[in-house]
Amino acid sequence: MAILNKKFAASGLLALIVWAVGAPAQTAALEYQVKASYLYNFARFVTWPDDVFAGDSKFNLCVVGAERFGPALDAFAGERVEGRAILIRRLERPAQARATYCHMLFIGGASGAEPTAAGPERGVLTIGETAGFLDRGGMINLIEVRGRIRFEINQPAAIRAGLVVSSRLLNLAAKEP
Amino acid sequence: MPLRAEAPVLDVKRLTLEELMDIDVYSAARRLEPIQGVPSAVYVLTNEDIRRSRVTSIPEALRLVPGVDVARVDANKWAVSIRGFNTRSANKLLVLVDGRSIYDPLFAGVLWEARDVMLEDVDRIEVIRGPGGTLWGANAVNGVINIITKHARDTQGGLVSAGAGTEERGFGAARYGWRSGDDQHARVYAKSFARDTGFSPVANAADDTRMSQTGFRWDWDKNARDAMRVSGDVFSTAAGERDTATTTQDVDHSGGNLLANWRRRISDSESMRVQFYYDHIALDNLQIGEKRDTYDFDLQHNFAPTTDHQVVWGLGYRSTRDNIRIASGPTTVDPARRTDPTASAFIQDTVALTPDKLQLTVGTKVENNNYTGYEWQPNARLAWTPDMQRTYWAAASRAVRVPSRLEADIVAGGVRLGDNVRAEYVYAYELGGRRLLTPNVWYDVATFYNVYQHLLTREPTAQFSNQMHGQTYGAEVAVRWQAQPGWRIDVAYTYLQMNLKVEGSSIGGLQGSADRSNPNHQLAVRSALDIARHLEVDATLRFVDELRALNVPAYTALDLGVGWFPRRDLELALVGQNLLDSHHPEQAIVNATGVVTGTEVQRGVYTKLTWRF
Repeated sequence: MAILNKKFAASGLLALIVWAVGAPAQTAALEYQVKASYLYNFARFVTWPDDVFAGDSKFNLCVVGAERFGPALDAFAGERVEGRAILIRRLERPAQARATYCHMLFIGGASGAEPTAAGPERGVLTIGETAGFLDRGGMINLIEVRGRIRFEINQPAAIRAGLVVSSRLLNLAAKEP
Repeated sequence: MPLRAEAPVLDVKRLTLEELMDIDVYSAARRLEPIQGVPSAVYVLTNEDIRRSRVTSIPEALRLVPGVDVARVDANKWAVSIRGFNTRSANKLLVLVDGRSIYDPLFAGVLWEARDVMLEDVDRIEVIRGPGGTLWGANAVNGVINIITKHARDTQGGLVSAGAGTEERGFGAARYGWRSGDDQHARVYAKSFARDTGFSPVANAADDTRMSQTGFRWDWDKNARDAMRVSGDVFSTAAGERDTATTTQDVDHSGGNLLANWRRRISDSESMRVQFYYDHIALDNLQIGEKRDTYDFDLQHNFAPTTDHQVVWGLGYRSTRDNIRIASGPTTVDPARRTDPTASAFIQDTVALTPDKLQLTVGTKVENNNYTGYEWQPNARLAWTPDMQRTYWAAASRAVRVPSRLEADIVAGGVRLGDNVRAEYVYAYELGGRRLLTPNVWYDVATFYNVYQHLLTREPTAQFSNQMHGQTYGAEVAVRWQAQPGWRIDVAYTYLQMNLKVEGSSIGGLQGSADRSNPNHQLAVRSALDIARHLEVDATLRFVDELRALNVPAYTALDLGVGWFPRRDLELALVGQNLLDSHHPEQAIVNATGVVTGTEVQRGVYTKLTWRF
């Protein structure tokens, strides 16, 4: 019943027969495995100011509204970024980012939160998955281009937060049309 | 449960950024089809399948599904059926849009010219061949088509599309979706099109079409426990046709619907759903007018009494009230107004005989209708899933078709033609299997042997009777091959034989049940190729066997489409349809007065621009 209940919100009649709901759920699963892997890669290709790690030996990867990741994100817990082990922290609201000492904040599309909801926070890389995320102050946005997940970068916003985005990442980013 | 929750086996953890950027999250997931463990012949057309087939209507999309016979009657009418009996009023197939029936109980069939959706907002179309009566009730004799629109959360932002062509004269659609509150999403849409006439070998074709539709959907996912949805549509269609040898007419269709449901997830193994809808349709032409209001209430409950059992049961009540007008003449419908309530209850249990390997599903529906009283529609299905790659299944079921309003109440020359009409029955025996052969190839084979009893016939007196019996059998094969990451090939083959006999004094059955009035063989091959990062090339080649009884020769049709993305939010498509001949017939329709009203399908070219923002 696991898949059935995940698709519970989808249209009803099929839920009734317990059939054929596999494909969309698997799509979501793969999409978020890919997105989780992107988050890990972003962490590797962005440099944080040293002082944001003071007093904290962990790399805090915070997520809001990211239920669709399922366990995909946890596969990266403990991986090392900037010499520190990744700690996955699931937040209820972006406002908790400051108190959680987030280094990276992923704002899921389902949360509806604004990119700047965590406040103008030094050393917090904000990542989203909604149209207009960069225009509203976000730093990296994951977008879907014909079935493939790509990303776009708002470099000025990253610089303002004291983050250095590697040229490799900048080169791969989708260019504004 | 037959479905497995495992995510795709793909180690995305160690991939480089470049590799990540190249994973097609959709086609890779599709590679994991076929749907595991389902004890039935199921095929799913996804939104992407529909887009890449470059079709402009639901019936055209269904041509790609194995076991489905789609024949265009004229430029605005289709005959769509599963496993035989195809006519414009193919009465053994149930079609639902988000759980709302679009089967017309007056004519017994779907009036495709006036039942539409916004194709861009369709999540998927699920086609279940074989009886679906246990879960869906009467008229799901040979199959169920379930058109499922996207959750409002998945249609956020705007979409505008517009196009024009030689047959598809002009069409446009617009949708906008937004967050309407905490955990709430909404969308509104509108679409409109004008379609050219077909080709008529005998007279001027008058079957051009104009259609407009608008609607909304609102979803509220309150929390992990409760979710709600409200949606509605209104439409208006003017579908032309020839009604006599010398005159033509526009048939006006209009209607609207409102649907609301509430779902509660009680635990991982228990859930409930309550759904209500209201549907209004009106149809008007020179000979007949139909006004119909339908109220439908539906409740279902899923739970697991023990870890080995999964039970689903439900209750349904539908009331449909109509008002039929028939032009003055010897033929009438009596009574002109009628209200038909239908009450139903069903229960189905899925038992894990051996954990994860062998599952037995047993269930039945009982329905009480105004025409034939109580009808039972039981089924039993067995699924064997030896591993993640293979599923084999077998099923036996019984399904019922209830007489249509017209069959029951038509009066000609003072004689009630349908006084003795009764329900039709099928006993269906099915066997199938599907297998993931390699990570890039799967196939699905389904076979059936159907025994029909009491199919509708006509007596020499013109009265209806139920004197046709017999068997049909056939096989359907679907193969999907992901030849390369950017190249997918789908093959669908359908084989059908019908051996039906008219007995007693009857002189024949409905058109679609006559010998050789359905294609024995059908083959469709579709290729979807990403030729470059911003360029797609799609092709569909179809062969449909002759309909000897109707003098419709076999035909082969080719559709080609090119999609170009000059910007990532912009798609420009150029599409050619039915390119191999200037025109060909797919069905032959002769109306009650002996006039050929069908037309032939013509070659067409159109271009379409889609902008998403």
